[in-house]
Amino acid sequence: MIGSHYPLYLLPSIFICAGHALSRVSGSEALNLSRYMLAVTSLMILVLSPISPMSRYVNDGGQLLWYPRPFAVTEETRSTHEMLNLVPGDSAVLTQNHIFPHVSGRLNAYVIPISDFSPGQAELIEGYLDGLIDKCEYVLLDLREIDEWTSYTHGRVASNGSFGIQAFTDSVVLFMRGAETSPDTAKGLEHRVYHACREMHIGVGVAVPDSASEVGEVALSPRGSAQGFLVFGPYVYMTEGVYDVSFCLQVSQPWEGYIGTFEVTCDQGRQLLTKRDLYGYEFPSPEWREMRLLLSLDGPKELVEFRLRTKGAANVRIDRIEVNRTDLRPGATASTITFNYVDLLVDEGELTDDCLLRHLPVEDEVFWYGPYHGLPLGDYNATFYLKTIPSGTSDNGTLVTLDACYGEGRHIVGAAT
Amino acid sequence: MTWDDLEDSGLMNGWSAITVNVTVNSPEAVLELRGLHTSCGCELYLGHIFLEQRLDENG
Repeated sequence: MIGSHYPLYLLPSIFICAGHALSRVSGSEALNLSRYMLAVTSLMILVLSPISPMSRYVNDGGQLLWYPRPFAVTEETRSTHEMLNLVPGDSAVLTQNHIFPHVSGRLNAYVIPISDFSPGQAELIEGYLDGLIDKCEYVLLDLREIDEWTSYTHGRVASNGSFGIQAFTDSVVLFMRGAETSPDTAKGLEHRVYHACREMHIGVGVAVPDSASEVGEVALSPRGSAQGFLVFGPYVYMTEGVYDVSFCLQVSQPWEGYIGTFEVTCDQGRQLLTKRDLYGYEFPSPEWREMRLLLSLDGPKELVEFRLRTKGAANVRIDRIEVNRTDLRPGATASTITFNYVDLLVDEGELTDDCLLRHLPVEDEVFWYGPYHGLPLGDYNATFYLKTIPSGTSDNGTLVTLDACYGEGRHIVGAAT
Repeated sequence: MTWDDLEDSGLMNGWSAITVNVTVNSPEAVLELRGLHTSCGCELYLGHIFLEQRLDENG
């Protein structure tokens, strides 16, 4: 982390001053001064130095005097070094502040600004970055350390037709001018597994032991817990393509209503890519179930997040999320998605306590409509989850008419009566 | 849909899943999914609607 080393500049001055002070005194005065210095230095080391066990409790890992994170060479660190080695020494490269020291010895290395700017200045910075992108052959970005200008740079490079992705990991991507992004670029990332208690963050739930999981524990949102995200993360980089996403879930409380929603987002959770609403009636027995959805990405996405929002209505456990890149679905252009009371419009019906839409026995009345969702051309299956409760009145005729249409109902594109 | 169509399909408490084939043939189409309750003999509940692209055998 650039910045943490600044206090080091003070150390030579302190040593020179200490030697100068000791040279001006002699005898017992020098001895006393030495003792004071030793005592104060020892106390400082004990309280502040990261190598002192006591300092951890005094500072509580605060960032004021500490390096913000324990140093560790992770797989991501090793991969980033490998990507740096892919950049020829004489090539122009643009990267972020914390990677820049690794390329700063090069003649044509440029850094993305880290400061916030006023709206007027922002326009200048955008022009400055556009100019840097134009002159660079490589752009290396760590998208877990994202800020406004890294995000801007990624957007510009990803949409710039002259760059392709040469290599990427879960969080670091190397763009190269003239490269063509191919499925081979994702080699090693075709199959990813994110365990709820390892690679994900746990929000409103807790980690509990469970022998069904290969890591020995799962995330649990007990019935009655607060509504919120049970798990979220891992904020990974994904390239254009089609992915099979599955999540392993167990619902052990009898409950037929709304349980929660599994969402896939990008751009720090701001852009919803797709969602899968979950209802208790899909879980007639308390077994682990693998829920699946197809995720179609039309371009590279940064900070992709998988998250499970739970209502607190049932005991919900999640073990893992698996993401498989698939080249076996060449026609897939749309992600699987679900719609529920949040997306649909209801005139005469009502929302029950368990978040089901209910319509009383009234003949020939529109129950719901919506959600006015844009789709690529193609054939789709729309599956409606319905339940009827006889009211006592004999009726052997049609119960409900389902149709799919556009253009304010003028064009029917699918129907069942 | 009639009573026969809404037979128990393995879901909890008598819930049924009914699938409708949809073809989108206009790029400007904004899809609307409607339900018209045509019977006075029952209460009707809707949970959610699951929409997925139908791919050919190769896909």
